Amino acid sequence: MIRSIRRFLLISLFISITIASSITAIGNYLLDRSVIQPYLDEKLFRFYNIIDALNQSVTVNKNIETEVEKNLNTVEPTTPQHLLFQVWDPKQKLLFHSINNFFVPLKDVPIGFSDQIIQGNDWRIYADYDKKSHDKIIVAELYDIRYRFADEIARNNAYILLVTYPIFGILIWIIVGLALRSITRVTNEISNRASTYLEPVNPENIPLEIKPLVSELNQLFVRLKLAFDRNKRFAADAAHELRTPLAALKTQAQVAIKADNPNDRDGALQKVIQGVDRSSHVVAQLLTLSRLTQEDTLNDVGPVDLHKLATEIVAYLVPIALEKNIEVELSSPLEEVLVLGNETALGILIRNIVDNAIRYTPEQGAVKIELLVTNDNVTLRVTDTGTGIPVELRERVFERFYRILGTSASGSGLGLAIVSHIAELHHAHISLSTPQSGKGLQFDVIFPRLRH
Amino acid sequence: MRILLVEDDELLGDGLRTGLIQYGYAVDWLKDGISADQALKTENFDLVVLDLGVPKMSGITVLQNLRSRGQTMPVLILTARESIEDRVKGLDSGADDYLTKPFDLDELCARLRALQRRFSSRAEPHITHGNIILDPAAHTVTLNGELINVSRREFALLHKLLENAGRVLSREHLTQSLYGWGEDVDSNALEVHIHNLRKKFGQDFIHTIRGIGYMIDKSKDEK
Repeated sequence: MIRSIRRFLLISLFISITIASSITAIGNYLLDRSVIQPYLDEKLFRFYNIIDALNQSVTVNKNIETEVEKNLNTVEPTTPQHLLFQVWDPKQKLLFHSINNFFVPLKDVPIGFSDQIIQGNDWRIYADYDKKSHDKIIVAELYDIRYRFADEIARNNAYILLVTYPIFGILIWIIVGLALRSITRVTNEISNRASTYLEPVNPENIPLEIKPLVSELNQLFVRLKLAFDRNKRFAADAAHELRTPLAALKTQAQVAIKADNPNDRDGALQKVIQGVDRSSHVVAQLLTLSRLTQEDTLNDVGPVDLHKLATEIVAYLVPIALEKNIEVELSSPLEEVLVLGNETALGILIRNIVDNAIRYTPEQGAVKIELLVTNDNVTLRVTDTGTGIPVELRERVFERFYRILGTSASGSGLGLAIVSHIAELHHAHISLSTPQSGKGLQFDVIFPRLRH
Repeated sequence: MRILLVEDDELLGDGLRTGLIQYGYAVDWLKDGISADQALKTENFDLVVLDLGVPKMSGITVLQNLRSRGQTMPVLILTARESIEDRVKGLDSGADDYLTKPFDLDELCARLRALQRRFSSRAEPHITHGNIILDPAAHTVTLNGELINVSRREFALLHKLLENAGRVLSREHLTQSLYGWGEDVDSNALEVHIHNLRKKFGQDFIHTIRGIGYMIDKSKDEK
């Protein structure tokens, strides 16, 4: 994984130019020697020509031979030590040679260019026969000198590279910086935002490679903004909805303080407790709703037996119903009625619907819970003998905090909003109607049926 | 003082009613706008405590109707909404003061007293009438500096008469201002209270206007 694009680019590019420069330098070093070879060979050949000419003039003029030999024998060696020559006659007799600080007979070297090791050093040798006298003329040059020449060239090359290397380095640094600048720009734009600013990043002037990233980022911002707005609204709703219950609590408590007899005080304090219970209920419902609305899909989904679940929930609520002398009945055509969903959420759904029915049904009423099964659907039907919901309000009751006016019941106003959301998550459909008896409310939740 | 309390929440309304009675008011409690509007048309109230969020007819509409009928009694609105627009709207529609929930009961009553004072064009919190000083906040009345013991109803009656000094108040008006609808009123109760007050403050103090009602003269300082 690349931890840093800039570092990766800089390091790899630096390494690349280092390797390239090194290869250039070493390559030069190696190649120059061989490239130089023909040029220096030509020079050696010219040297040969000189010796050849010298030999010819010596052959023509015997006097010069003696002169030359005399000179050669007496004069300080002026020929550089990296050059030597030998001239042999056809009878293998050494005619003359250069003065070097050593002598090795070279009469047997091959004709043409060759390489020999003489006295532990490498020599480049050219040998040929004189056309007229058939003398063998041999010239040789110490490789070391050649090498030195080549090496000097290579060294100069290296010096140049030493200068261009840092220039390249700086150029790379600048170019990488420029390329990555657009990333820095986007980063700065985002980091300069206020923590709650969730508008999309401007997609103009962004290079092709970063566009998809920025686009995804913007989509994330949109989602965040929605969630943020949802949370803000929730907080506002909560604050608003708790004001009146809290006002009631405060007032009742102050009444209790001012009460001049224990009965009145107790009465007021009882109402304080009632108020706290009610507020707790509102808070619990708010939390449930908040948690639910944050999910778009269900987690923990599996087959749920509505019959078993309804039995549990209704059993829990029966005591409350009995306090109001409300008759409760639960029926199901099958022992097991399966739907696909989340058991906890479905429990909350059933509880809220039945709880509502009990709350809004007056004393001596009846609440009936039925499960109806067809080939494709499972319907949870809760019928009550309460005041019902007028047709024009049947849409509105699912709004948060909406409560039917004129009821004295102490609901939170959120129960049906919760029910509605859970139904949606389960792909279930809600239908409100007046029951056959003509009085009260029939509340249907229609689920797709789950088969084995 | 008779207050019309318009509040739809059970617990809060009950608490307010009890609390205001503790403070010496007679309280009538209604839970929706239409009933409140009706009551305001037909009955006499000294003060109105109105929750803007009542059902059936909005508090604002009740308020507007009240003012358009020319009724000038002080109205204090209760609101759960924080927004400035709602408060401005309430005040501009004719409310004299507002409180947001949750509020302090003591503060509510202090504001009601302030409204009452303003309504009676009194600068001072106390009502002074000759040698009598009545303190509505403390629920005390003194004669020549000496504290006089009066019952709750007697105090309310005296307060009402002094507030309206120089004006005749009918028997009905006075009875209504002392007792809410739910309370049992002895037909003689008012006479008994008047009698008690005369005993404590002087026979000539309260005038009986036959067939009409009762009156306390305007204070000599004011004349």
